[in-house]
Amino acid sequence: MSSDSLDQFFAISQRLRDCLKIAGRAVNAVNVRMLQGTEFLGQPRDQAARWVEETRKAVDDLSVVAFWALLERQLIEYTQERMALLNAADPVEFAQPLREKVEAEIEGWRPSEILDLFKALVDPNQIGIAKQIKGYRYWVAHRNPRRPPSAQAEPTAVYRVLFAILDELGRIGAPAS
Amino acid sequence: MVTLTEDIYGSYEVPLLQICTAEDRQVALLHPVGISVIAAEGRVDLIGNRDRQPIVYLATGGPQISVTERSGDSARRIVHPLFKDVTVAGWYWLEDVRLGRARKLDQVLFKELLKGVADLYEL
Repeated sequence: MSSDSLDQFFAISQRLRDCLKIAGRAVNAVNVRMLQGTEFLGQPRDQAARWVEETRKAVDDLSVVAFWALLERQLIEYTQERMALLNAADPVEFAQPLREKVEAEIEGWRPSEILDLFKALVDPNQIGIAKQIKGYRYWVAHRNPRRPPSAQAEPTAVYRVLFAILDELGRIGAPAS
Repeated sequence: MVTLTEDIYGSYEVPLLQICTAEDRQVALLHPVGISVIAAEGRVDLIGNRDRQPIVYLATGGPQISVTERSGDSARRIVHPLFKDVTVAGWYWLEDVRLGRARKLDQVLFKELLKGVADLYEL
């Protein structure tokens, strides 16, 4: 279990936010040298500032989507690795088809069902927060105005929660083969 | 009239120009956008039912970029225009901001833009 990909994407998302800070400063200072060759030229200053802010919000939302995807992948792979334990289980005629069925179908499981499997391994409160993050991730992807997200999700807080889950699973270690 | 609100100037009213056919059918609007515009002195948009085009007011020479070129102990300041061919003050169409292209608005160009935004290819 590795949080490396989460760390890498977190660093990228922070750098993206920094780039937008620089863009915001260039807009506020009306620094045409820095803004040359961009669509900011000819834009009303208020509109240009809104663009930067809207883009920052979009980067934040897309970061949450990406963090969630990385966690989901890690949890699926963790579960699939544990299925290898069934290779040594009796009766093998039952264990092997069970392993194959789980490995084949886990990609279609509901994320909340996968998360529930980990309640016994990591702090259930973290799992609860992860479910709220999942809710926000779905809202970002589908934008259903009739079903607003139950909680907002700030990328750094999301990263910390998901990192803590992966870190805890990493401490438990790989299955004995 | 249309009410514009800009952080620097607050809210103010400014005329809006409707462009209509001889049969009084509106084909486009010249809609003021603002005075506080990056790299320009003001902007109006030509808006039709198909598209919109930005038209900005540029001072003579347009906005300039100053770059200091250093070679050893000497430094040379180079100034170059942000948009090419802005020789006189006036209204310009921002043809391609990424390539720094602005074209002086004249009757021929305005008709071309109007055709494009309003889909009036019989004009």
